[in-house]
Amino acid sequence: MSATAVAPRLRGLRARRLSLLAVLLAALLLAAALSITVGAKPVPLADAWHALTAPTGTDNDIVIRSLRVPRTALGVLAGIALGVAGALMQGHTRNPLADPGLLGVTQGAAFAMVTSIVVFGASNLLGYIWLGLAGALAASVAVFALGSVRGGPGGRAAGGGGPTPVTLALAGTAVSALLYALTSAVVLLDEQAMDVFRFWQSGSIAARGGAVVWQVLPFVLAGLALAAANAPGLNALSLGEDVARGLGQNIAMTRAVGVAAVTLLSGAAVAACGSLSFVGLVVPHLARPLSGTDHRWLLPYSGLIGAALLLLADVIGRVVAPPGELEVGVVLALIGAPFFVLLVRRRKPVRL
Amino acid sequence: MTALPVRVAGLSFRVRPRGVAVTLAGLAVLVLLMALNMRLGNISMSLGSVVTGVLDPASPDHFVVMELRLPRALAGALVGAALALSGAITQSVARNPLASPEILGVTTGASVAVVAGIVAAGNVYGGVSGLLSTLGVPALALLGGLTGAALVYALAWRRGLDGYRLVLVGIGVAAVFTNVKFWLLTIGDVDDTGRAMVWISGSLNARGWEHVTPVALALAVLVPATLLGARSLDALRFGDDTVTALGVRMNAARALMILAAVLLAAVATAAAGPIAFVALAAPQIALRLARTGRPPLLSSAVVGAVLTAGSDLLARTAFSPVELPVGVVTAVLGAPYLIHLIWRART
Amino acid sequence: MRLQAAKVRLGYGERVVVDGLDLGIEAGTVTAIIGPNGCGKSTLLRALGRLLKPMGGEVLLDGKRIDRLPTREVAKVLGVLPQAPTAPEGLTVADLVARGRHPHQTWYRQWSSGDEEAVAAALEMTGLADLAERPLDELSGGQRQRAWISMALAQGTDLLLLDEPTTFLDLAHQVEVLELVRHLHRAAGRTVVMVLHDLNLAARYADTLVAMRAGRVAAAGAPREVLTEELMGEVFELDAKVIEDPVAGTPLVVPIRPRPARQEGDRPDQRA
Repeated sequence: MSATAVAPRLRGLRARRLSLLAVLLAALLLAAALSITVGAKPVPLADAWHALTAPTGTDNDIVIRSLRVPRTALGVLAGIALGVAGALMQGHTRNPLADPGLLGVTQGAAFAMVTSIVVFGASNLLGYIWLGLAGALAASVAVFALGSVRGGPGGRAAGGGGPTPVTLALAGTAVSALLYALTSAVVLLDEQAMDVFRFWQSGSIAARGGAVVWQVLPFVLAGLALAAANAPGLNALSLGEDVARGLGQNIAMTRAVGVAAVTLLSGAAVAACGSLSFVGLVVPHLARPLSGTDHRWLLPYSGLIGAALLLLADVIGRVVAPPGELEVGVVLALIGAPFFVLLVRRRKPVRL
Repeated sequence: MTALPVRVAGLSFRVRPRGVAVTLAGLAVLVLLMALNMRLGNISMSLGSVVTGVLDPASPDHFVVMELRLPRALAGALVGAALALSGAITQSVARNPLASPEILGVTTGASVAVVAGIVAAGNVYGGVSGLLSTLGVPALALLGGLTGAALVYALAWRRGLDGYRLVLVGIGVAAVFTNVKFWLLTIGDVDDTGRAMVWISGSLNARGWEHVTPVALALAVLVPATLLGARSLDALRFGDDTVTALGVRMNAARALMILAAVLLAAVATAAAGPIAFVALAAPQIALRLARTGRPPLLSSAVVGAVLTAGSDLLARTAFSPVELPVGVVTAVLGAPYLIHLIWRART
Repeated sequence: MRLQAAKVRLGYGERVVVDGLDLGIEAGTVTAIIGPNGCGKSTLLRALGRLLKPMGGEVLLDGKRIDRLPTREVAKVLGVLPQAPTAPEGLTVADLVARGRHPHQTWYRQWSSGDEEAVAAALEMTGLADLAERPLDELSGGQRQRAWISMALAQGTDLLLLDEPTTFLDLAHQVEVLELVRHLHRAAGRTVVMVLHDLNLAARYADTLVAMRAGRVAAAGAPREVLTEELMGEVFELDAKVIEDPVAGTPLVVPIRPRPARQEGDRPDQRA
């Protein structure tokens, strides 16, 4: 077989991956349409279109524009952010148990938020979100610094390659546990903080409003840009540090960019929506059998699946227990986990 | 790490001096902590009055020492040992330092059952007290823990128990339980949520002999059993092909060791709630202190006991008269120490 | 001189493995580094490939200090294949080979036609075109090793460092891999440095042998000059007869027995 015969096959593989990406995008659009039309007040698709393109101030227009659209947009942002962050995290740690929370992001946000309630008496949501984001960033920086400690002159690898997967994971777990303990102590001593905290930790995208969407958008976009830049380096890194160095990859830089991306993405999502750890943990495992091990494909697949799953879970949560709603975090776990377990049982899981 | 062969009358073992040293040093610290735990409290007493309190039923301190402080101190040490041993086994079988009994469904299952009980009883029967708190909560925890573990076990079992599949299934089941727990916390009255949070954090407050006995019995049976099984854990660290080649009946060994881990965690959780971080951190701390390849079982248990007993001492006395749940303190003490060890190890 | 080690001191942590070693690699040659286990062969190769930073001395690539060159630029001229590399499960041959193009890609040019041609050519040259879509873990040991070499080829470097490319392979596959190396050398004029265990294959396929012992170069030169009976005793502590390979005409080592251990008290029973 000649070289010219191999090239079309390589292109065929790319075409298959691209078309699958289109399918996932369509699934996300469908989920978004459902999220805009379904709820306590169902809105026909035509009316929804009307509300989006030429609003005239009808009840439907108001419901759609002020409630459903921000909620859907936040769901898309958070889903993409958490899915991509989860895939990055598992790639960097090479650990299937790794979720974005492992960098301390979730517990950092939680601790900052409950502390701000107690200390400053902060009461409005937007205020929490800034503080949550700040807490997430601070915790992540601490974890990265602690996990990066590698042997100075006594280190195994030359020139310090940033954190090893195991030290990063352990440092993250330790810092998370510490912050969680402090958060528990605060909420046990302050009833108001407890009341805010318990709703935050169950995870929801309801009633956040458009302002929150705009608030987290820049962080998510910046995180996605870093993630895209990180994908090729992560591919090289998955062949082992020596091979990656041989391919001209700067290991420490790759790790740092990856951690920055995970921090921005999951920090924004967690601060706005509470702990939706399930998305980051499980979605990459759903995406990997479809995308293969190439992170340039795994990351977008994970993002799209994460967003579609989050929206669908939210829609189900709206209709399943009328007149109330179930928080999206609970629905995600209740629906996603059995599906996930089934998948794990049916096929040989793809190891990292 | 070198292992010294010890041969006595036809029996032969390999003993790692460093592991033994860690275990013995840990036990010494534990004794010290127990003594402090007995002395300190609302009324501090001298070591002498503690001793007379133990020995002399007529002593005025007898009740405080024998009925309040001793059982609580023992409960802390035993629960910590059981959780740590459970964690050491889980991490060895899963070959993953992040694995803990949480992925076996035990602690999360117990949490759901207990939170459901507290929330339901809180609304219907007007608060958790009396029979429900002394008997009902541990029973619920045990039931929930074992149910959760059975679920994970059954779902992960497919012509054997693969460590990797166990971890993944465990993640899924734990996610459901955790989120259901979060949801239950939002539907209850905020007072009930507070009570539930105390239990979820893990607390040794007001633990008596009735809590000590089950954990002690479980440890008495399971510690020797797991130590006998430890040889198979060494083999399990290698891939499945190697394990089979080494002649370990892999599935049976793995399944039995996991069963032991489940029972240990379930009994400990029933007694004191899912005390955070001990099961995960104690094995990792012990591993670094003893410089072994996998978490050493006995040293892990001792480290777990020290961590929990020490944390309870702080939880009880640091902010007196307010008592913190011990689980809040375990992470505050354990996390910096683990980080220090990672730092020092320079791997 | 393409690649040069000047007075390098190499090691891990406190442990020094190689001290004050000089070595030069001429352009367009195939060099095999041989020596007993633990003599520092792989350490030296890692340093030549800038995977290990020297504790002293320097490694020069085309006369410039390799650690001062941008690592990505180095990756365009020098490819390194470490010993027994591992890949994530499920990675296909085509994906693995494509990752060799990493140093040539940027965020705005992820997959050029040049990349595609290089990957196709590398698959072709290693005879893996038909296996391109198979996961790496389903291949035989020889095929897997060829896939890794194929990745290094796709990198398009004219300097190639291979650390024990024939480990775990049976004799037929060892010869297959080394024939591939020879082909690369003859057809494309590539410079190859490899660590090899099999002395006879090293003698047959390399222009230059570098024999190492205890972190030093014991002998270097053409196989005929290096593989002598004295050197076998000195470097490998092996009594051996060196004859002419009836096929290739290169030296052929026929082992007789290990030299008695030097240290007093070591295995005393053998001395009796």
